[in-house]
Amino acid sequence: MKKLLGLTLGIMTALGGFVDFGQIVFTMQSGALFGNRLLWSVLLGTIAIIIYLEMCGRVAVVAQEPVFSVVRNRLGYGGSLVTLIASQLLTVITCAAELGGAAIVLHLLTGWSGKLLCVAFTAVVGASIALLQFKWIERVYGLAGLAMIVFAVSAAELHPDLNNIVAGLAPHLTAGKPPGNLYYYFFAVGIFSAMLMEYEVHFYSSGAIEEDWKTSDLTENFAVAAFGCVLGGVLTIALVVVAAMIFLPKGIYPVLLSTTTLAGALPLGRAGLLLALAGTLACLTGAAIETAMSAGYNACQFYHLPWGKKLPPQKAPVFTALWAGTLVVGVLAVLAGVRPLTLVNLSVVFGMVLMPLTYYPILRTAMDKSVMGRHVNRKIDTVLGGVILVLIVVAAVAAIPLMIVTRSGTP
Amino acid sequence: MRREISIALTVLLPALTGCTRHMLDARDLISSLRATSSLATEAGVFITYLGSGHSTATFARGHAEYLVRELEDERRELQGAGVDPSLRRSLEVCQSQQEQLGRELRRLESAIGRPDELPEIATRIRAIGTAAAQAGKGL
Repeated sequence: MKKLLGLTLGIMTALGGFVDFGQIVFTMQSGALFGNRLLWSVLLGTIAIIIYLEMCGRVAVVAQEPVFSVVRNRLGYGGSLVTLIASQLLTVITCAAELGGAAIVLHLLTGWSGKLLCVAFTAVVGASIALLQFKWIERVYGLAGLAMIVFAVSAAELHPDLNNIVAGLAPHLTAGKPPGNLYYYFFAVGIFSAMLMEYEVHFYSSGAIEEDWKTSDLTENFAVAAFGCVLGGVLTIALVVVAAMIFLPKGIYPVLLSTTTLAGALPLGRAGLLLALAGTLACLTGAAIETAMSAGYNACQFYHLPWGKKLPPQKAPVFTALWAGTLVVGVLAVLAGVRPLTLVNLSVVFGMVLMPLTYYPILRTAMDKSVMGRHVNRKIDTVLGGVILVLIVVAAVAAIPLMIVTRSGTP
Repeated sequence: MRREISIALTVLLPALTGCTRHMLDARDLISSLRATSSLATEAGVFITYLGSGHSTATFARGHAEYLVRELEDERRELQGAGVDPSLRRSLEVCQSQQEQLGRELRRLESAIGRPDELPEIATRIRAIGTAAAQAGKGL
């Protein structure tokens, strides 16, 4: 049972990590424009995040180095400081988007004022981080996120063409339909980016240390990473399929979280609606917690300051101030009227640009025998990690030009 | 150095203070008409869903409110914008469709809980969506 519950770190990392606001809207927009044709991007993103989560978990356990410590060692002070500043900005933007998204879902559930709900929700997120042990954070929000399975049930209820889904899993180099290739590439990059958001590896590797994983736990590390990510990948595929079946034939381009939720609920009645709202809320909550805590982890690991949930706040004051500060800045951004979707677009695209600076140091450390000893990468890990890193660099270079040319994918 | 700074300020300040008139091209108008048509179709699907009786009252009111707000955002992007004279007529058509849809969406918002009013609103919204889509194709 304990081992089963151990999977919740992977589930929460993946569901809060890539079934977040950005992914829900982005994947549904891709399904609305290109049907199942971009499913290969979800598959590729899932494989990539499994490989890198496993790698950063292994590095964290063997070298006792979480991601930002690795980044500093590999990129030097200047390069890693730039990465830290950019990552912190990205984390705050993403956290604000998740808080704003959660306020929307809560408004749809209760009808109360969105701003009031945003403040109350942020307080609950803050209280969860402050009061719950790490294992309970991952268990509560990881397991609650499983309500998102309702989207997979909805997809099945719509009786999709399985041959078309399988065909979509094979990469297509061109869109084959309007609005054209540039939009197609923008969404391919966006989906890939949303699945590999940096805060996932920050949270996962820090979680491995928070949970005192030992080298004897390394076989579970792969299972935890793979199970969570495959589940997240399947749910992301379900989002695309639902959008392809409901939005594409009608010419709807979804821009509202309430629209994406409605699509998940359409085939299932009232229970489906409530589950879709609950699942979305759980994933957004998980993502808000992950981003806020990552802000604390990143800076403390960079400057070798005390961090972690095991320490009382007075013994890890910078860690505590940073996660709390991230929540405060996030909620202020939402109260100031910044649209969550605008923040999502920014975080997905700029997250892609930053990605090589996070993933390259992980790969370099995992393949370094002097650090990893007998747990060093096998040749296959290094080759796959290298190929994915090349794809990440290509996507990073293309992300901003594609965003400008396609006006953030708006057809 | 001073010259570079003054050039940068000349370019950036009007943009930052919003003094320049936002110019739209045909692509902007097509995009706006598509968004209007998409919102209209979305509202139609929503009305059908309301008819099924599966929605909750809070979700129905909330979603209607977000649809109205989204259209308002779309409308704001066109307000005060300039276009090439050849596109002026298309801009007027676009604004007119948005205005009509805005009216119907507000009607929908206030008709939540009164199912007998929904079919009529759905018919009008459908017509607006079709007209916006056709106008977009004509550009």
